[in-house]
Amino acid sequence: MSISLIFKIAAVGILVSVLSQVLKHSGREEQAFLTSLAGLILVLLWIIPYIAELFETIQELFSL
Amino acid sequence: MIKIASIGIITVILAVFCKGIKNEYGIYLAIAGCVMLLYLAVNRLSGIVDIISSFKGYITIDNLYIVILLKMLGIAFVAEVSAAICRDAGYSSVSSLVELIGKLSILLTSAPILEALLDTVFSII
Repeated sequence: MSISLIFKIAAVGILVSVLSQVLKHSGREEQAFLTSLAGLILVLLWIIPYIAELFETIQELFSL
Repeated sequence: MIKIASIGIITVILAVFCKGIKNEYGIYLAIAGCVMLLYLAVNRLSGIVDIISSFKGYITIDNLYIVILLKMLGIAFVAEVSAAICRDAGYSSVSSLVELIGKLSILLTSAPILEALLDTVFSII
């Protein structure tokens, strides 16, 4: 839960954008789309556990 | 407090940079930053909740009202956060809906207090 999460997401963002540019220019449109999809899923995999844990603590804290 | 400020600033810088590369990672970074700052906010909020529950000893308030107050605080907190994230992503319609539903649920949870108020008023008259 440190700052590394944000750096990882930024790194994935930059990597995916570079990869998709390269793939687009070399004519492979589908691979470009697939790489951006993979980046999206990876980021979601990282963020969703934290969001779930956060809402659990809020629910338990305020006895919602 | 410095940790919170640094996380916020770093997140914004990276989000602007990622948005510059013309893809949707700016929003993901903003959401990740919000979740992390929320994490720190919840730690402070638990301190406030402990203070409120320690007040029970001094003031003879029924426990039900304090639970309702905390519930309203929680609903307002969550509604505000999710509405802000939706607005940040550019979808102000979704965020206004979330705020509306938050207000309605707060009104719903405050019903017992209104009822108690009416009872006391009518008992006086």
